Amino acid sequence: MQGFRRLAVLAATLAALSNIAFGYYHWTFFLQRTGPFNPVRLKFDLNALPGGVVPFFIAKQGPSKMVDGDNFNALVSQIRRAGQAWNVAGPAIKTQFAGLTTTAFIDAVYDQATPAIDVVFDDELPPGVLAQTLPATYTDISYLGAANGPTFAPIVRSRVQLASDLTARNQASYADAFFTTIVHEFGHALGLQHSLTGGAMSTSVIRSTTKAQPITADDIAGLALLYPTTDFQAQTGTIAGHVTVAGQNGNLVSVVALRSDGLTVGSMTQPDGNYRIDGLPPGDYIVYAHPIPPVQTDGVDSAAIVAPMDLERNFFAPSAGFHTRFAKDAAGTTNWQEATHFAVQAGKETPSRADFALQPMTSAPLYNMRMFTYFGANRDIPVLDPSLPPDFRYWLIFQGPGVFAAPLTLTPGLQLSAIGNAPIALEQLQSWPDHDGYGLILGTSKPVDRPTPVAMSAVVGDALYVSPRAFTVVPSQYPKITSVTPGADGAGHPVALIAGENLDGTRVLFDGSEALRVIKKEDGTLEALPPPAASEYAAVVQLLGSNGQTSWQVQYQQAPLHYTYPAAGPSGYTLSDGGITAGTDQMVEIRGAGTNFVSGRTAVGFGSSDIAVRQMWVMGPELIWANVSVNPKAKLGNAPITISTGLQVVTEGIALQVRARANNQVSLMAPIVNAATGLEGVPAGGTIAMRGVGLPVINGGVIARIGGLLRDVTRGEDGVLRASVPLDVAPGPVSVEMFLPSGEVSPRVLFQVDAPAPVLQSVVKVVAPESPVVYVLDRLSLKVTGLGSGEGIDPASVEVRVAGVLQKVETIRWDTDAEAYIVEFTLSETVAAGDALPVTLRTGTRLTSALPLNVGAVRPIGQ
Amino acid sequence: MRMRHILIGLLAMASCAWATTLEQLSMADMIQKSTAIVRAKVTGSHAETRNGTIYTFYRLQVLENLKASTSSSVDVAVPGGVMGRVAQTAPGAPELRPGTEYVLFLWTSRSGLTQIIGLSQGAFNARTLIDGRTVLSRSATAERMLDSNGREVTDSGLSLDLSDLRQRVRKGGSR
Repeated sequence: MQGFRRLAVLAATLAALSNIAFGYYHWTFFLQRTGPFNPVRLKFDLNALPGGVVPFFIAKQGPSKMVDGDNFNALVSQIRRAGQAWNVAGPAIKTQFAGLTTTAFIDAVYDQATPAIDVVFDDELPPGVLAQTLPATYTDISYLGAANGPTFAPIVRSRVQLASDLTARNQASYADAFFTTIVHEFGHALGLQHSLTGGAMSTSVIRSTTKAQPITADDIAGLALLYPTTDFQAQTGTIAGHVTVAGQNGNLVSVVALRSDGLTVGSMTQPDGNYRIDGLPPGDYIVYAHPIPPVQTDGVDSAAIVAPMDLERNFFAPSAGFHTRFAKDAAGTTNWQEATHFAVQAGKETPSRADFALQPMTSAPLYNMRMFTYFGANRDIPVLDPSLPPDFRYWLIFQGPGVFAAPLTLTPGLQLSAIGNAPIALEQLQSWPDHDGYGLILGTSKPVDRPTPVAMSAVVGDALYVSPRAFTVVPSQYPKITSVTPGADGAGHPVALIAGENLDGTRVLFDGSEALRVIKKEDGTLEALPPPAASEYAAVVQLLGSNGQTSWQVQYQQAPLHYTYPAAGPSGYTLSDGGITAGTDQMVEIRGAGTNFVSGRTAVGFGSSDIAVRQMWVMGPELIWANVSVNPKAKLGNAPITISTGLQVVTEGIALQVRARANNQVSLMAPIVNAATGLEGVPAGGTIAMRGVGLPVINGGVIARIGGLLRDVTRGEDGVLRASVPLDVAPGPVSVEMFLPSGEVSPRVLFQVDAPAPVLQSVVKVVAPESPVVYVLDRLSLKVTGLGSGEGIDPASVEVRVAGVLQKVETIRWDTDAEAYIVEFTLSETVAAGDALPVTLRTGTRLTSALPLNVGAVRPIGQ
Repeated sequence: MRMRHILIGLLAMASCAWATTLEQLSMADMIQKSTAIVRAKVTGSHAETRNGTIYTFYRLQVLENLKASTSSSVDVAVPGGVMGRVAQTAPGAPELRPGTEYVLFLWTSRSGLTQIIGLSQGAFNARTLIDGRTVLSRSATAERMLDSNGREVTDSGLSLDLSDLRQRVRKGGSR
């Protein structure tokens, strides 16, 4: 406890330094009770994480007991998937499975210099605690007071603690709820507290995420504000305001922005009553303010948000005793139809503020209302936070404090309504006969073309509750599996043949690991190529619908269906070189036997956060090349290797030996990048830029061997070494090592040789292509050669920027006449006017040269 | 009837078994699942690591055993604390203050580690009022509390009389 106090005291010196936007659900310290309120937050130091990637480990000893039919490899697979659910566009941080570990958490804290997340199984969890995540920081953070030092308290390591006996609460790893709980815990491990919008970081009372859609815009905003990127800030906007409660500044008042299509992002007020909701995708919003849900007698229904603390570790108590209100003038309204609308634009704060002057409550509150309904032919499958398909007509059942005045009697005057232009018709509000505490309302869904979350408003007199994602209306039914049988594809590879219902666009999971390929056959069944697994492994098969539903949601009452892999031989591996030097980066070759390495699906870890796989190339099912980076402070000795592909986890084999570093040690640092683009790929004939340790500070005499050919190395004024890539090297990984005049040689590292970069041929307006000037919101067309091959290039795989501002690519098509791809996008509003603004296109690490574009300031009348 | 069972099962699954960090515990749950319930004062604390987690161990002077009998003093572990150069944060863990009287719902693991069940759910401040009644309220929370009728509890915590708790413990948790 002393540490917190010291943390706060020392952090007090940071008040003037803090530059982070305020008001969110992170772990927050405020440095004085009277303001100014500049938060010091707990988060990972991206500079301490190679590539901004936080590794996560899973305790090798696993749980002591698992549910029948479950197994450790399945658990690893599910946890891997849950951790990686946070790897989305927006935040600057990413997670990466780094293997199994036998190192105790506290030993890892002391022995490993690189921050990480550890998932452990511990029988010490008392009743009432299912899982807990404990971020650790330094006791002494006095260095934070240094000028230009970090303005946050760094997470040294986060510990996600799960129960060791998973049978005690029937926690099967294949259950959807186990997965969403792990996603939730990873959010805590990354620095997020609970939110109140129904996303992954909401408590289970209102959480409505699924295995198919594990995080929401609110979760992304929360993480992106902690680990910001310029792209995210440029693409999203802000609503700000101030809240008073009974005339006093409102603290920890939850303020939620609700977009017309059901998207929600929330924030919290500071002790001075100010708030900002950052990270809002553009659109039309209404805003509501509400108290964080209370702790209720005989239960823990609270939002479980740890309030900000001051220097003495005293909480800034949340404001309470007021009713929820939609923003409308200062007093607000209980009627969403009267709420003020806020037009959010990318990169901007709305000109009008959403201020609230909330008054003390005069009646009992409503809160934590939750809805569910029944599916199945006999309406006997209850589903919480349901996804309603087209033309669904049935009772929606709700419960929550405040909706009943007496047993079987709804609170007089209770009104329920779907907020906005929601695709649902509601009627016949009533209590549920013989089911005390439950109410009914008949819902009929309307057709939608994409999943549309619906927020519900409940009003009783002066009291209002908003359920932010009460249910979702979707274009399709839940996917279901009726049978899984082993088969073979046209090439004779073992596949799973899956029969079921509503299989269009579904993804297939085998114990949480996604099928390598799914084909819908003419008879309507799916042919799924399963991910690698051990001989005769039995995997639970589940479906993820394209609209966020899962087969588990409507089939959890049934025994899971399995796919059993064919018999196969054992697997193992060997290393090209069993040793690596601390403080160096080095290429490591892993040769498997009986393995099935798959690009993008295989993870290699060394049981220590100080040994990171920076880049990896799967050269075949039994061959991996990797650049491995070892922290100078890494513990010397054997580092156990974990190689995980799908459900195949190989841990037994030769360990990597970490050796002591010599005084004159020379090393290149991965990644080696393209000198022209800064990206991790360079075409043949291009120039690579290399950084390293122990490299010469003067020009001349240094030779690099690149792909077997010797090249002169030059040193720029920036200290970066450069060398040209031979013209005749083929695309793929190529090794480079450095020879110094003094005789030292750097360990070999790999870099990526790309195919030649695509070429932008032209950029024009789709309408009036001859126009020399374009304006924001014009639809533009790029003609590109060398982009790829084939018809189907995913727009998401291509990045277009105008003056550095990321554009949203809408379509890519092949133009046979032009013998080029046509890439179309709408020029973002956040591009400032100017002449000859650079337009670039990038796919992977291949970046075009820029073409100039003239963007006018004010569109002429009539254009 | 079947529908009712399914419904109850579903909601139990939603709010308990699969919830989040915390499993919702009613007072009856806490009475049943605790291995001991004590009224006690904190006399000291120190930090130790156990299975990789830093725990703050609070030494309690036991004033009354409400459930099971413990010795006159007991060490209770609360996750989080300071150990060497590392401070570990345990959200939701109660902070017990020296000299303050508590009623604690305790649970001892098979390995012998005694903790408060449900983190702060099982920790109550004990205050004796001017009329002699001892009132228990949940401590170490910054959150507002309501009673079962949705009325705000002025104590800003879950409140009940110690005598009421004694009765409920004797009845095995039921009212």
